[in-house]
Amino acid sequence: MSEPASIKPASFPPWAAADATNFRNAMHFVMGMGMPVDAAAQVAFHWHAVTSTTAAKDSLGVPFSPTATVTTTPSVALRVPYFVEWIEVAGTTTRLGVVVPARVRVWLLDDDYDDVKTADYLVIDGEKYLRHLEEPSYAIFDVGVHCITFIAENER
Amino acid sequence: MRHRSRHLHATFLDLTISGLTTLGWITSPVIFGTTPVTIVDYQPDVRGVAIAPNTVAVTLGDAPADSDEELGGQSGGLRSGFYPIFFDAYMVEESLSLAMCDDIRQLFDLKIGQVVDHATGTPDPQVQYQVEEMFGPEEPASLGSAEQFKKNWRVMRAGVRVYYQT
Repeated sequence: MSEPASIKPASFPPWAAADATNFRNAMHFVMGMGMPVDAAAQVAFHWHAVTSTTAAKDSLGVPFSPTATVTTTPSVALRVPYFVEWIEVAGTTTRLGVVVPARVRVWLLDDDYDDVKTADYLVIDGEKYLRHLEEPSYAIFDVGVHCITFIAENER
Repeated sequence: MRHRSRHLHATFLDLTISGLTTLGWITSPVIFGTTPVTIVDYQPDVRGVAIAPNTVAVTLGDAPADSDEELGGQSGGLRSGFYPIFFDAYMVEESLSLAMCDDIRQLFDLKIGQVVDHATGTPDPQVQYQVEEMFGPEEPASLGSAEQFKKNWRVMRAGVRVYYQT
């Protein structure tokens, strides 16, 4: 089945005196205003370390031979401009017995989103949050906006 | 055999892939005109992976303690271990899930063979399996993450006994 054509209206109208590049720069500035001074307190996007082996292995990449050579490539963390909302643990239980954990919602502009959209988790102030879900994306004319939710790994 | 459960799991994964390929589920044109089936060795919802039909997941269940098959089994004799193996079929239609379960029963019911040591790629004649029982198709218990697939999600459960020499 082929995708229907886009029905999105045209980009920034002439009367708006703006364009996508200037808008992104302005948004990055505003995002920066709200970031903590301490770098460790800023959001950092992380990827899991990648392991590889030439020996026979399963779907997780773990070799069947306990003496097989495994190469581990550590990942590099990345910081990009963002807005963040922290949602406290709900303190209630669902009928399945699962407590709704603390979450962070991170808003990203399109070019920054492309750099971190595959991140496995993020770290804020030493707390680790695992990727949970991505909301449907939207835009402000030519500038795409994305929102990803991460849930806290450890709940006290 | 060291790490016996891993090798047993991988053996049954390989048998499932080869068997379903022969039965026409993997290579286009696929039987019933459906999309080719993907076979994985994990339950997608447990690993946080989206369930995309058509998928068959081959996983191990909880294994009880091993037992002696002869007097003195623990001292150079014959022993056995029992392993439940689950085949979760997530198909686009319920009737396809049922057909898949029936084919899995045909592939494994009452079958015997050698467990393949996947570290070397060769069957181990000292470690053999026998499929003692096949249950299913079963309708799985209601789980929040798989609710949307409940109507098309069926499970086959094999009881496999592995015999080995100590």
